[in-house]
Amino acid sequence: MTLDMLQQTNNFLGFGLGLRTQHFQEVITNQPNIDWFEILSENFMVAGGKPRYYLDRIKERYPIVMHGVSLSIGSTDPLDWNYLKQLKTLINHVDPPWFSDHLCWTSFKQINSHDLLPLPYTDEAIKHLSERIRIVQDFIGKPMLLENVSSYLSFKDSEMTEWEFLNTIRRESGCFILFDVNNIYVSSRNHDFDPMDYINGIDVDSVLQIHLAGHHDFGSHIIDTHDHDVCDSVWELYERTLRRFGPVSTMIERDDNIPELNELISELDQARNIYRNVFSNLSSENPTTKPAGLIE
Amino acid sequence: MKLSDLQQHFFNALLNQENNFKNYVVDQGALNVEQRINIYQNAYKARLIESIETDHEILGYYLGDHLFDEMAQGYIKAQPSNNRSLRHFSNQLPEYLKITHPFKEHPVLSELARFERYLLDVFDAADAERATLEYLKLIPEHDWADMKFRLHPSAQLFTSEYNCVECWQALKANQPPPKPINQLHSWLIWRNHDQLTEFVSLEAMERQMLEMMLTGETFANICNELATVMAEDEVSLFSVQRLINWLDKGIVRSLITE
Ligand SMILES: [Fe+2]
Repeated sequence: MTLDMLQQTNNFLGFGLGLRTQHFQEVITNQPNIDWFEILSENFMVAGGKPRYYLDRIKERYPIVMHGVSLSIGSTDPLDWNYLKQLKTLINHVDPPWFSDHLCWTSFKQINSHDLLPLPYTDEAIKHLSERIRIVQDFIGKPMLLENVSSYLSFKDSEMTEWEFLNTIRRESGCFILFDVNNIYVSSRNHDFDPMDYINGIDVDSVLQIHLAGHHDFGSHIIDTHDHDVCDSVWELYERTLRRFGPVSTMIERDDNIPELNELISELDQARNIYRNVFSNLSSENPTTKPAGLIE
Repeated sequence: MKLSDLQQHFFNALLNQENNFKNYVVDQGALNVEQRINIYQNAYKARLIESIETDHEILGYYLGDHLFDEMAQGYIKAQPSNNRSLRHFSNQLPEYLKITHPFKEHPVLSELARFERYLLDVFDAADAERATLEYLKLIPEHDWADMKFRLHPSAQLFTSEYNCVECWQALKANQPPPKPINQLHSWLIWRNHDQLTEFVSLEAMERQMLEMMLTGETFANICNELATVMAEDEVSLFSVQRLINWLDKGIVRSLITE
């Protein structure tokens, strides 16, 4: 199989960036060399104004995927149908190939933490999340991706590893995975596991999108801040991730200390180079992995 | 433990309401359990404080770091976030400032916060078409009396009892704010054709006219009302001039003639 064929069957969007307000105007004026954008759904779930104005112009020129932070899929609160309806309205408007949220919970008894809180890795949680994911996917009518989060504590209740937990939920719910390589690195340092065990523990046909980001390393632990460049260890893991999962749409998240767009594009070029190196000899090699495909 | 119980304990810890949560967390590696829980507690507070700072930048300048921090810590305690969007976390901040010592002794603070909330509401209010002068010209003169108005969804009327907008303007320009003085004043705030937020001062009669437009009164009724406070021969010039001005600014969504 050639790289071209792989890309076509893989819903491969190429190399994208998280769309940030600082770059709205430049994206429209200069149409930079970025293959696609990811928007934070909640930022555009407003009635109107500048964000919606720019979104409509940018979506004419770039593919857009949607990423949410407040679905709270792991919470024991009932699903928030008001939120889901607003999300669906925005999804119908943007028409992304997929939408995503996190393997976490954010709210409890209608109070919001505004944080991506970790779950215990238990059978009860697997059942709870899988049921809810199926309901959400059915309602939205688009493939849903769940992203692994960075975490700073783990629970005595956990009965398995995070990757076993995520992989089982993915199998039982039929969702896909947004693989955040930085979050795996951050959590591996905070919880002392081998990030390669995580990468190898996820089914190869399940990853549709990759996040790369920077963090703050305190030595004793790492905080996931998204305010630095991607570090070397994460680039290495990214290469290993591509080798396992094949060509997967990749993007860089930057949420704080946001640099000029050009700087982010140079960083994105680094991802493009790694990708080219990994797959340049592909036609002579037998790829070990089968690319993920969306269920029509 | 049931998932819901574990989440209850986690949330209690997040809101600093219990010490039990640490019993359910694995003790491992370079950080102890308290330090791990602390990361989440700090992140929770930091995120809420940052959202107040972002939404109420000018109030922050007015208060200075020390008082702003006192306000933010107090507000976070009094008002857990019940909206999934941080954009609405500080919705009750003007009310909090109005009733909480030492802020309530300076009513301009609550007003300043309220003004900033209006600016935010205008920023992401719904989009809509805007009526133009050309459209007004198409309406036959005999239909003018029964004409009604719909304002652009972003248009907001704001009344202050203190010179909070003057304070806002001074601080925005890095100038010291004027002394708070008690003065009733009305403002029109809206989002213009370029999606930028604007505000202008309103005379009492302009405010009255806009309020009547908002409640669906006809142009004739509005003019009759104006005639009670100004000379009758001035009414039509005044009302038409204002209407043209507001059409130009983009605050009129539609002119309705049955
Ligand atoms: Fe991420």
